[in-house]
Amino acid sequence: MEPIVKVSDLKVHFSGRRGLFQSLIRSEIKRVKAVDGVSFDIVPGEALGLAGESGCGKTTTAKTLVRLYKPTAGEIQFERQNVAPLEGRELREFRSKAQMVFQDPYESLNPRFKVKQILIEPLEIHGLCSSYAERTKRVKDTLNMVGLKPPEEFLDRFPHEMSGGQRQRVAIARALVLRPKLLVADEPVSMLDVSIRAGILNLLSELIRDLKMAGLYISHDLSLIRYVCQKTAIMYLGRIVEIGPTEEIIREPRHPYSQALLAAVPVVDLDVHSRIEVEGEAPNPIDVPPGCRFHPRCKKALEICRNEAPPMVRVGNRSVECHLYV
Amino acid sequence: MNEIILSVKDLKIHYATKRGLLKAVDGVTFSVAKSQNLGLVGESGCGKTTAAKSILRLLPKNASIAGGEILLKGHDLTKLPLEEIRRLRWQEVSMIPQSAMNALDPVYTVGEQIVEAIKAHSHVTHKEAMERVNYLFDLVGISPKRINDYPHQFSGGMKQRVTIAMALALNPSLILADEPTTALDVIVQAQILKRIRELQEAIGSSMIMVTHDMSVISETCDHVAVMYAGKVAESGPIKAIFEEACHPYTLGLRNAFPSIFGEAKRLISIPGTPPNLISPPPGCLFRPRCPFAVEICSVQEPAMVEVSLGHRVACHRIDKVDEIREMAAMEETWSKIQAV
Amino acid sequence: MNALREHFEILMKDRLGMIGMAILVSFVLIAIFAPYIAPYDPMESQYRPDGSFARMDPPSREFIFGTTRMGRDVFSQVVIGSRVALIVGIVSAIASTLIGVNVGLISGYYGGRIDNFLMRLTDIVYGVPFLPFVIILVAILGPSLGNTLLAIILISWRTTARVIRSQVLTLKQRVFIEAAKVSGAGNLRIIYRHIMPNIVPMALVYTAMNLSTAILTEASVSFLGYGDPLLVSWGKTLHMAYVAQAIYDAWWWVVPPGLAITLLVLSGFFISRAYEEIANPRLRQR
Repeated sequence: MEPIVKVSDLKVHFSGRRGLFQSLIRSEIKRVKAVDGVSFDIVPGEALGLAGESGCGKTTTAKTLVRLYKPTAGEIQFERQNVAPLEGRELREFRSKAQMVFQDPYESLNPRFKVKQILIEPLEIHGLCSSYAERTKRVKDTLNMVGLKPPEEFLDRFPHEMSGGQRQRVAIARALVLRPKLLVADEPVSMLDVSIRAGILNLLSELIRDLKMAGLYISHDLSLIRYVCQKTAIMYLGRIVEIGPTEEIIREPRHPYSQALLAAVPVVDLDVHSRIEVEGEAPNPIDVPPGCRFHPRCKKALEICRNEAPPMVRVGNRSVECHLYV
Repeated sequence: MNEIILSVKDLKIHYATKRGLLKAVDGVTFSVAKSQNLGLVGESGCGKTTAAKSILRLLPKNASIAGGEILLKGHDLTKLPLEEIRRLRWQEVSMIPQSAMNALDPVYTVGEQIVEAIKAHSHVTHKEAMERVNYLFDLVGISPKRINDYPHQFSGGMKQRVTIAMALALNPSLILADEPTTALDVIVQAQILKRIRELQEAIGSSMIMVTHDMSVISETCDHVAVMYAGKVAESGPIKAIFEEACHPYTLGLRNAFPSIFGEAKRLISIPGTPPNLISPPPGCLFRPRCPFAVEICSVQEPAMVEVSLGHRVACHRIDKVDEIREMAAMEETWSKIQAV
Repeated sequence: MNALREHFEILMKDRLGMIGMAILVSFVLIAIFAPYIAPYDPMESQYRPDGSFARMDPPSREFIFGTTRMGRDVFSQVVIGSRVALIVGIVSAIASTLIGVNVGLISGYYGGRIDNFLMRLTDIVYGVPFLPFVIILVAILGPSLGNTLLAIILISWRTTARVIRSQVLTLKQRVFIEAAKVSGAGNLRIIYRHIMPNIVPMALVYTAMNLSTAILTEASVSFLGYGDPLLVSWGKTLHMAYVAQAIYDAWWWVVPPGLAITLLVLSGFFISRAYEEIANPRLRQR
């Protein structure tokens, strides 16, 4: 199937601000290379997981995909159109097809809006549905879709009158009311209690599958990604180091960083203990090491890793960016 | 067997709120032996953090200990005045907080802060205190050259190591770890948990690990108490809780953790939400969300019953535990309950 | 409607807020019905029942607050004077809030050059001393209620602007604003539908304070003799007492208008305090 989203060599750099002193001595402006050359495709009905630790650029990638940030370089092909440079009316049109669910259900809803207003607003903005009655019907249908039944019970509630799980469902409904083709979810369950996460995860999986949306799921927790995503991309310091079918990567991670990540995941199993395969922490995206970004922490680093950035190599069903596989 | 360091009996803690008395902890009993790790696991609002913090009397003004005892090496902490408790802090019982940001003062160097804590609780010279700080930093894996750095110069993981060093400064008998790795990435979390375990063994202190994450429990604890709505639902050795759980809530909680290895099983939610602790319904507080509730569950609170050595459960339906375990693994069991 | 009711409920919870509201409402009623409440024409000289000129009379049954050196009824002056005070207070409070809130919203949300320009403008206005400016403007344009109002409004929006801008700076980072952008909301919608409702409580704190300072300023201006010569105001009454050198002799001439000013100004501050508890939940007592 033809991918609906094709990201090519996406770069998102932020320039640090220069203080007065630094301006005087004319030092170089340090740029935070949050996303530094990322490429992936997403097919309708499929969810791609973006995994990695804080500072790896996964959240920036997600937000750039819905144009909360403007890419510094690279292309985002959505339905064969490059949405990276869009502005104004064209950008708004794109927004009606690409939506996002945020991490914090307590913050992503305007505390002064009732659920009805939260859900009707996107329809009003894009001029969908020709009458108030039709909009209300769409809102109710969407509430049903996310499991908030009966919808009438929720329409007049304020966010603070609902539980975390309910709020997140409203957030999902808000994304869904436009019937988007792309759904980005940024750690949608990490702030919810464990026993209600399953409901939201199941909901997201079903929606992506049934509505044939392209899904991008961001998480640092690989076990959640395993549950929702068919494909996974592991990110480190702004680049994808390994991308391929989720089950394969989890069963047999190839990139040393993927291996370390998977070894460290704690398991609810008394016989399995997490292992530490790397030392230290990921450096700041301002100071990216030369050559392969991971080489300072990599136990298998070769001489070439210090000097040359590794190419993306195809290994079976997946791609790995590592000199060990060239 | 093992000397009991801490024994909490029937602890009750209430919060005075505008809407009434909130029974955050309502009759909780657990104990920690020497060099042992107890995990207090449960979701938000279950009372685990309140129970742990009450040991050090770190609760807000509107909280009060309404009953029960907290016996630290035989002394009842609930009866001691605040100055006595202050003396015990850091020395006998210390804490690793959830976020290092809450523990470290941004305007002092990390060295100064630990030295101050040491000197406030023991009679040592400044030089001796600094030596101790060097030793501690080495123990937690921070270069001693960073003693004069400010908290903002450290990364999240490093800051947490500093708070661990602070917690260990005076060789306490008991460490309270309040979700110490929730804010950390998975690799750093693994490093920190490993470090905490090693240090605890080296120093011989006991630990109470408060968390909502059962995988963290399985990495660090010997004993577990599962809390729900201010009460202990089930407690016992970790093997018993993980492999022979009896309480429907424990079983439901297990279902909610996706596995990274092995078969990808379907995740099951526990429908509904925890009860209102200001005016809780009668009977078992888990009943509205329990697929196995019967009439007595709405009327009478279940008492703690010992099902095997050290393994206790508060549930009316213990006799049917094998059936319950089987049914709890199936999704239809839980989706029958009407709730969102 | 719901919002208004919520509004009153919260005000009622704070005792001082309630008192402030009660005082304000009373004065508003007095002002509305002033012509019916005032027994005499405030600018007309009065005569005692026995026919003599009622000059400098202490309070009596005929003249509740006594009379001035020109024989005018002080009570009537206070009652009618409430109109000027309230017009100035309310109009200036509303106008300065409207200007200040909009400047704050636009400056805070857009940032960059717009923010720089508007904030430098605010800084300039901050540099101007309030009372002297009002006096000078009135001296140039002529003493009238309109000019006094204009002068007050030109200055008093500055505090609201700064405070609201700072609130907007924090608010615009919040996730629900990002979410609104993803939904496709344009800037104006975000500013006025999403951000504004969240800053209204804070704006009201300063609206109430503006009420107080406006009334006080107008009273000061009139007291100094720059008030509208055709209108009755409390400041003017005090001015007349001062000019007649009667302050030490005729306490009844001075205390009532002074008390009226004090009460109304206080009510504004009490209400403002009650709003502050809403705007800043950390101030609320548990």
